[in-house]
Amino acid sequence: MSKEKSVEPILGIDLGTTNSLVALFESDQAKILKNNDDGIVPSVVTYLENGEVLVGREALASFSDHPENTVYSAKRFFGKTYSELGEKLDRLPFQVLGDERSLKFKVRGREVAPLEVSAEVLRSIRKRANEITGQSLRRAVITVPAYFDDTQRQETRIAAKVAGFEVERIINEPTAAALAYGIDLQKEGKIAVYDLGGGTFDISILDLKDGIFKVLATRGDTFLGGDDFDHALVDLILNKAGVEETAIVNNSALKIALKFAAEEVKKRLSDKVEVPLSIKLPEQSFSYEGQITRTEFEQNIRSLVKRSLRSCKTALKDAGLGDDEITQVVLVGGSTRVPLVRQMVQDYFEKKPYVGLNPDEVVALGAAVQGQILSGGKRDVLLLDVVPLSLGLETLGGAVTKVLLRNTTIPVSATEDFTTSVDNQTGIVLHVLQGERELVEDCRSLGRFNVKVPPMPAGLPKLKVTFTVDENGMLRVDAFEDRSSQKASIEIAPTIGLSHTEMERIVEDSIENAMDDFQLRMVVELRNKAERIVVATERVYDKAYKLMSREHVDEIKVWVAKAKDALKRGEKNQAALEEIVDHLGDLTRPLADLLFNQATQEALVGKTVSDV
Amino acid sequence: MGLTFRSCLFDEQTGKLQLKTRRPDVFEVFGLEYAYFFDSELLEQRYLELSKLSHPDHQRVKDEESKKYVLQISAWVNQSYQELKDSLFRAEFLLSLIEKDNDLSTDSKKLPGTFLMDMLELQEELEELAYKLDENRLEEIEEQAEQSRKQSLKEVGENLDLCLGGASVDQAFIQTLRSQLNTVRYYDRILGTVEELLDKV
Repeated sequence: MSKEKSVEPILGIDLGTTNSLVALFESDQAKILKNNDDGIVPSVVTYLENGEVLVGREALASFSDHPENTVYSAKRFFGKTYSELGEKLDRLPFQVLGDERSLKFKVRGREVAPLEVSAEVLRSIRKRANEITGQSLRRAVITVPAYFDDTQRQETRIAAKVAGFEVERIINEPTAAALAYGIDLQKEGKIAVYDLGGGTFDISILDLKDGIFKVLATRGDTFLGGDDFDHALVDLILNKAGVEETAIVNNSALKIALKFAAEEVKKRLSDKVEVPLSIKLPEQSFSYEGQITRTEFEQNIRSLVKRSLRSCKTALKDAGLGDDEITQVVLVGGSTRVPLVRQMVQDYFEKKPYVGLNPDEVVALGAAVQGQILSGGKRDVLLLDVVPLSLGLETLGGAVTKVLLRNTTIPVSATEDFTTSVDNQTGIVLHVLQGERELVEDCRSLGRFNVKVPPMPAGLPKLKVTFTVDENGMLRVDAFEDRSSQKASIEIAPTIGLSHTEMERIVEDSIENAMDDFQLRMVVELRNKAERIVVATERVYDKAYKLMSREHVDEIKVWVAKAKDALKRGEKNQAALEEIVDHLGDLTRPLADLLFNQATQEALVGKTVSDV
Repeated sequence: MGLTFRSCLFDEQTGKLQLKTRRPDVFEVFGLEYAYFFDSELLEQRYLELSKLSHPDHQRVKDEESKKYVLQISAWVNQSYQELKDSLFRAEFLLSLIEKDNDLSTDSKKLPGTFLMDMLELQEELEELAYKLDENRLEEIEEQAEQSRKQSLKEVGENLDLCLGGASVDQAFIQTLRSQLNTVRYYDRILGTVEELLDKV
């Protein structure tokens, strides 16, 4: 249909709850970009007093010094409201604010949206990618949990935009993992991807055939992951130490210490059946010394793992498959290292899970494969993904009419007819919802918009509402009144999370900042240039008087003085500096030519023609 | 690039995908003959083939207009595939087609003779089961309803294919098919209720 875009490669980014990674497809293989390290950037951001921001390992290292100003697991808060999360927030060392429609973190006295925190992580990822590849790469495929709703996908997209990325595609994490594995295996069959990360759980069932990865069904839980295992362990430690849970509520330092201890214990329990634990925090009047056994840990997390298996059951049903029809089970996400998880998944599918690739890396690798497909470099592979959650509209009595059912292959569009219920009604409010439940209150509200209809008797207007989900899984709603041929504006005002104005402000801020940076660089460059001209010109004044008119040289001197003055006072105005540099350039160019000719002549003196 | 079959979305002369103003007929998208019973393997194969050609990932375009164009075609391909795989959709589509071709119309709400009485009985039992939550009985009902649904569709499908093959049709015959097809929707509702109750168990 048309030529491919430029061949600038597309990065694959796994923006994880706990860790983020970036990969690139090079010489027929996806590779994690590593800077003499494991390539893992912890999704942790520390806001320092001087306005500086630390990301990743640096943030992690200074965590205990700034517990209140360090934000982690920001992704868990995407598309969530303060009132939705409630008591779950008590465990966090940083401050969370908000109401029924928003959620913010308070760091260093200012409010920061979750997507702004993730944007910092992505910015650091971009820097890393550019350092390693030596190129300025802007295009990226970014992964999200399959079960992310439209709001959460939207926020991910904005975060990437703020970080200076051009988002070529948002793809689902389990699908990305399957892509990485599929290419690794070159096999056909029905694959179950069990993805248990730091904060979210996803199960996807895929059919792999002729290079086409068709997602049959996907299910999940955006609030189930390694973080919950940590919390379960913290509970266990508190219990063993005989400390009430309320003791940690207002103690950020203790919360951090316990969270880290729990994470460490969890990791070590993957290889050992028992680990010693000693926490002594006299300042927090907390101390514990003892053993944590794997059995104890498993007792505390069993119900969480069971919850994930219930999702697996529904996914299989949605895919129209029996548990024995799965040919391969693939594990993704750091939390699948927990032996109990492996065991329970194996028991459920009656198949030993395949773990050929590093579960931490597989999602980013898959994203890079998709990047390669999109840049036109790989045409033998195609991904057919689905709508993760049903989309619908509110109808009379607070019921939801589904317009697009979950697990429908995308891109897709569907149209429903609506009409008025009152005579001469001039508008119909369309309330767009996402979720499986029957009632509005049980579904996620994506937004409302008002469609004007010409006044007519009730039931006569014919409003055609079309839902279109594009290849990114993003929804667009169009409304069209058939009788009057009126098209409706379709800008959806998000019901929760950030409003459009807020999103715009964040994006604009980032552009302004980028502009500031850019201007600053320009000013610095202009100053350097002015300084070079001044130094070079002052050195040749004597010669200049011999080569050109006195007036011309005097004028040069006037502008050199102006330049020196500007440099001395640290001129920041780009236009003023430009004027000086341009003017000095114009004035000294003839001099440079003359000097060059003279130098050549001098060099030639004493040489015979044949030497030249 | 081309296709191994004829699709109304693909212009063989230009070798390009073509956008139509109206959504094309689901059978024509995959170049399949009108028939209730069809080769699902063939559909699968043609769907994958057409997807490779039409999916936005393989049809990278820059301008908004072309993007919309590609998106629409790709959405139609997916939608048509989904619908064709659905037996009830296929039956209703073909029945409407036969009605139109023969200039006939049917009552879309009518059910066969004793069907409604049987269903009322079942409905009453389900109301009781909502309290008792007898898993075995619920599963029994589920299996029976699934069986009957399948059987109804099969019978309608066989008759539809006969009509499409040139057998003569009249109003009464078409109405019988329509009524029988309406029972399928009824079974679907029952299956929905049973599923909800089983979830509670």
